[in-house]
Amino acid sequence: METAVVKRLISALSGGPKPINQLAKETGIGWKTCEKYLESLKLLGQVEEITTRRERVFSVRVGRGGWFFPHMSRIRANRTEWVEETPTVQAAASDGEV
Amino acid sequence: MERCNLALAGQDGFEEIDAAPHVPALPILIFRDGLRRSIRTLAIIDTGFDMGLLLSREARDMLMIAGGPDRHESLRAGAVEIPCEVFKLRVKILDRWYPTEGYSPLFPGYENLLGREITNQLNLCLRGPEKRLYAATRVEQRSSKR
Repeated sequence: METAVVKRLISALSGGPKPINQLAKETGIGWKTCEKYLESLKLLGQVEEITTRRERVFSVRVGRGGWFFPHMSRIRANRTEWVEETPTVQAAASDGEV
Repeated sequence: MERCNLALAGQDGFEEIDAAPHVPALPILIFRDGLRRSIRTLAIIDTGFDMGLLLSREARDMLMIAGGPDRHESLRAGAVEIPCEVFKLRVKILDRWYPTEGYSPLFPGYENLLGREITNQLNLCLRGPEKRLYAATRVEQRSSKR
C-alpha cells in the first residue's frame, strides 16, 4: 500500500462516513483501488464498513485496531525514554553489518 | 566432543502485556544518525517478524526529531499490507550495536518488536515455565591441549 494514498483516504474519511464512489472522487483514486485499500484498512481495524441497500459506506473506526494483529498488545511496564549513550565510531566499525 | 562456547551475558524476565500471555522482551537502545542521544525501551522478541525492528509510535515520534523517515514500505502479513515509514537505525542489545531498519506502521498501537533479522544473530534461551529469558555471547575457547 502506498502511504500517501492511505493518508489521503483517512483524511477524506475524517469528515465523516462516505461511500466508495465519493471517496474515489474526492481522493482522485480509481474506484477499484479505493475499494482494495478500504478492504485492507478494514482488516487492519482502521476503518469500518456499513453496508446499505444501495452502497457500501466506510468510516474511520473509533478505538483500537485490528483483530488481525494480536501483538498490538502493549508491554505494561514499558517506558520509552532518552539516554545519553550513543554508538561510538569504533563500535560502529567493529560491529558487523546485518 | 565439541564444548559449548557460550557464556551468559544477560537475563530478563518475561513482560506482562494486555489480554495475552506474558512475552519475552529485551531492553534495547535505538539510535538514528542526527540524534545526540539514544532511545531506551523494551522490545518483544518476535520470531514471526522477518525484519529487524518494528517501532512503537512513541519510539517513532522520538526518532522523527532527526527528520522524516528514510523511505516508505509496506509490510505484508498474510493478505494484508501494513503501510510503514522506514528508518535507518542502530540497535544496541547487550553490549553490541546492530545496524538495521526500523518499520513504523502508519497507524499507532503497535509495540516494539525485535524480528529475525536481529534475533538470528543472538544466542537466546527462553525458559517459559520460569518466565525467564537468557542471552549469551560467544567466548574464546582455550585450547584443551597442554
